[in-house]
Amino acid sequence: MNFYALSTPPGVSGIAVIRISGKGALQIANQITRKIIDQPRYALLQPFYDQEGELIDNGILIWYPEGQSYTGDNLIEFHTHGSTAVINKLLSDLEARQDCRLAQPGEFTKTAYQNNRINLYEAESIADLIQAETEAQRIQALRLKNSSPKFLKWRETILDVLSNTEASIDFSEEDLPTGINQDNEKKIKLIVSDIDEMLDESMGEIIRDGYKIAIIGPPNAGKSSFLNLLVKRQAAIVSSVKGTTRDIIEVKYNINNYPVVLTDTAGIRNAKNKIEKTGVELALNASKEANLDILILDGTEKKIPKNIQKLISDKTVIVLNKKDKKSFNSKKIIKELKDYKFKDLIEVSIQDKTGINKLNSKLKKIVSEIDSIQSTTLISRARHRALLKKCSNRLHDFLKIIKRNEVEKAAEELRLASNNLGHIVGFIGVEEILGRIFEDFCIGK
Amino acid sequence: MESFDVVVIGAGHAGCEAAAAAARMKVNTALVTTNENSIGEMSCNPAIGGLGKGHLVREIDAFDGAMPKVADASGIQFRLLNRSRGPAVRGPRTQSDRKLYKKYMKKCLLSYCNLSIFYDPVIKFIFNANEIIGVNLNSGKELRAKKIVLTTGTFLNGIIHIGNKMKPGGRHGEDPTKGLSEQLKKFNLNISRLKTGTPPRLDKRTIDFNNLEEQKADDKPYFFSVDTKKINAHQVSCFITFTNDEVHKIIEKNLNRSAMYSGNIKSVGPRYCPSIEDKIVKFRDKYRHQIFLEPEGLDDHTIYPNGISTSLPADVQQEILFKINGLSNVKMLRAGYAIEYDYVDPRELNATLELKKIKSLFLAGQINGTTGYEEAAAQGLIAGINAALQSKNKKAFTLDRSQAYIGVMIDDLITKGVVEPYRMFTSRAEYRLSLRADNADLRLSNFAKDLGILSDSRLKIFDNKFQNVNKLKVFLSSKYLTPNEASKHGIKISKDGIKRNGLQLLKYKGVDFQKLKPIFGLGHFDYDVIEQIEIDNHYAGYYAKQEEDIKLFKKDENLKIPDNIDYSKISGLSNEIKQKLETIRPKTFGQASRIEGITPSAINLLLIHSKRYTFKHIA
Repeated sequence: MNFYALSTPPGVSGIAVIRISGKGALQIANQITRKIIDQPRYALLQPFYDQEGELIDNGILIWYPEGQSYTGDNLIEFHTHGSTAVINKLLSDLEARQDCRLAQPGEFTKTAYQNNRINLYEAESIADLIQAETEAQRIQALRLKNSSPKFLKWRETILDVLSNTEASIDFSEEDLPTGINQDNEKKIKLIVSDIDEMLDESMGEIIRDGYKIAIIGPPNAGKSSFLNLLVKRQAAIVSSVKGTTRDIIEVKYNINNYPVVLTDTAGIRNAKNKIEKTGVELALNASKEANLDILILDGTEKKIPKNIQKLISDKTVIVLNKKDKKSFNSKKIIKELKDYKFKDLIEVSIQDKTGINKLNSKLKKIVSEIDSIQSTTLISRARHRALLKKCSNRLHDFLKIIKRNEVEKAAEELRLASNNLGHIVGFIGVEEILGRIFEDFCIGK
Repeated sequence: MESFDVVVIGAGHAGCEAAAAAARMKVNTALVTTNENSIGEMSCNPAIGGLGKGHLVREIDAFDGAMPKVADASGIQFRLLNRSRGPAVRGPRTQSDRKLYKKYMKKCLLSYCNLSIFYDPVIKFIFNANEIIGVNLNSGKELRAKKIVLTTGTFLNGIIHIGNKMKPGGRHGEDPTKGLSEQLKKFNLNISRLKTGTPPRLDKRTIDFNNLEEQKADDKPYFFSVDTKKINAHQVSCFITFTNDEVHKIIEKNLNRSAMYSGNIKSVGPRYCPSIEDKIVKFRDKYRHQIFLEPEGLDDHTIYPNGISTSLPADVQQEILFKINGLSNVKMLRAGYAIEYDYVDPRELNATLELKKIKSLFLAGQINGTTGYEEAAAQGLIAGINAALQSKNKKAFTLDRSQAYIGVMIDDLITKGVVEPYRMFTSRAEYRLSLRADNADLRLSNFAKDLGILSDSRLKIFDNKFQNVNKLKVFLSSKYLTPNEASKHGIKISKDGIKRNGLQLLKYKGVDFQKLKPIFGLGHFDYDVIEQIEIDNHYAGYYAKQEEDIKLFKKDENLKIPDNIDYSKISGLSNEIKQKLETIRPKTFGQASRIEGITPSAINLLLIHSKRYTFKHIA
């Protein structure tokens, strides 16, 4: 059965793309264009007709033949004008055909997977790609897709070492080529260090879920005003009353195309009432989970409160507020900070927006640093992470055990490790393959 | 005309084991062979067991089989291979006296009152449509059978090659079997050729052993059968010598006269047991190759030089031998040869070893593309059991990959087929750490018990051991030591205040059963019982790690593919994959996923299709 779907977002747009995949897709395209299409992978400008012979639109048609298409089957792309009327007309014409039906969510990718055009890992990466909201997420998803050969290569090497190890169990040394087991440890060590490096970075998850920035500080330092200023809207209630913010306020935001989650928190002080106490606890937690803390201090104060001092770390950007006030004096506080390690310090006035541009470009720079780490592959799915972790454990055990010359146990570790990698790219129990991956897909991909 | 429940054709290692198994299953059995002297013949090297192979023999013993007992009784040099490695990869092996082996095998077969032996070659199969119902013998006799097990070894259209000389033969000095293969081909069976070889035989009295390394038997023999308690035959040594540069040059010069390199032999031989020509061509960097000089028997002067199987002309063989250390005056008793023979693609078989295309006909041994006495015997066991079960209309008996090496082998054969003679290795078994030679009885004898294939005395031995292992386990897991108590006994554990039971204590360095015995006041236990607890403990961590894999494996194994599935109806499968599935017709998704070239996505389609199918048929 051929299936079709609108592959561009619904609604009015410049152009819309409708795709049909299946053995008979070309036949359907011939009927719609009233021509015999014999040029594959070629953009043809064509009138499109419905079954009554009525013109639907003039558009571009591309035929990707079997074996050379995304799905692996014949695939036709109709590029029409992005008007709702045109789209609906073409879709309803397709709907009316006996040999055609609307695609299920993810069916194009699922078919590609079934036709062996992509492996499981790539399929998952494509799911991420489709859901990518920002440019950085898109790039990451692409990188993930392209890193599947890496897993396959590791697996090959592990199987290589495994077969050398097995050979030394099943054959006498006399019968084996000399030195086959020489580089085994070295090869595995290389893989382990690659995997561990990959595991070390939580960056993959950061990009997927957003870079977490917590805005913290003593009460009334201007945290909520800062949040509102940054996101250019009234996201948090501000007042001069201490302890106005009690709950956590999360705002999704976009810095330099990186997804960021900004968290505004309650002012940290020795709270007396229960509600405020909970608020402070939440604030401390948010700071702990954040990838970056923005600590807002009142520059007119002479001291940093004790419970705030404890929060300063190398992921803290200190923002000294109220530069517009006469009593603003940064020297004393800077002196006090002498013994602390922190990321940066900026003097601003949230009131009259001085220093805010500078702060913004600082944040851009910090957040963009994620990208430099991206030269290596990132792991964004918990499933991949868990399997890689297991694989790494097995390989570490292998390195320990091979030293004790317990060869059959060492071989077992390698076997399990290669299984773990195999599971990432789809060599898994048959029932698991079904359903678990494609549920995330939207129609048309 | 006589009638039997099961008729076994061929009395090699597969045939003997199949006949013995059917007899133990208490059905009327006949064994048909060419002559009395051919029972249990070791056509190649005079040894039983080895790495992976020893596991198979121990598994046969769990079913009270013939080979383990006979090998023990005729063993003249017991050695446990890989002794320095872990217990899971150790392989029991023995040199066997060729004549004694035949003698004890015959005695064993004759001990079954429901087993008749005919020394009368089969000349023709009798079919009724696509079912086999009997055989015609050379004498004119006709045997009728409910089930037939065919074990022809290398005899089906066998051709022996020595240099450029070729002559029909099933084994040295014996005629091949002709005509049967042609009868089978009419059923559209995929029959092709394989090759194997054997070295020249030497006269012991003309060998100078003085400068050769001696390899003695183990002090403490490791037997194949749990019934064997002591050595029956005198123990002798093997000796080790090597090829050398001169030898290699002679071979190189005469390569074109070797049957394999002259183009006379086109079929594939075992990669794992290469001829000396192959070794020299493929491993040019090796300046010498090892040769074991193995005695063929106690009252026999024949020496089997293990490592130089060859199809060079006889005069070149002799020339080479003269150049080898210790053999400068050696008398060659007969030349080595290569042999080509017919085998049936094992993908034509069900897991019971019955042919899919010919009802009631079971195949076992080399005819299925394997090499080795042990592989043959293990297949014979399974074929014999299933032929007997089927003759009584009982449910089939099979073993899977997580249960036994036998299961691994048969699954490999029927799922992947063979491209070269198939030999067992420990690395073929993915659950190797739990499938050990030492626990074959504990793993399998419960199945044997259910089949009713164990003798009364064996049943008692097994039940006893099973109970004692469990008893000791319970004992040890209910006795505790605190860290302080442990340190009083010289066992170092961290002083964390946590009590540890006996099983946990066994994991610590220097702690074994003997150490715990006085501490906990444990009674007497036999060594084989204690051994089980200690080895299980040694691998305990891995059982846990493997559990997930085994669960996954079992899940796929339990996922049955509908019997009458039509692969041509599954859209999206390539023709190549459809064809593969059609030939093999896997029973389960597990088996399907192990077929070479079957991708995860093909399995996926198959799964979707059969779910739809099942659903349709329920609804």
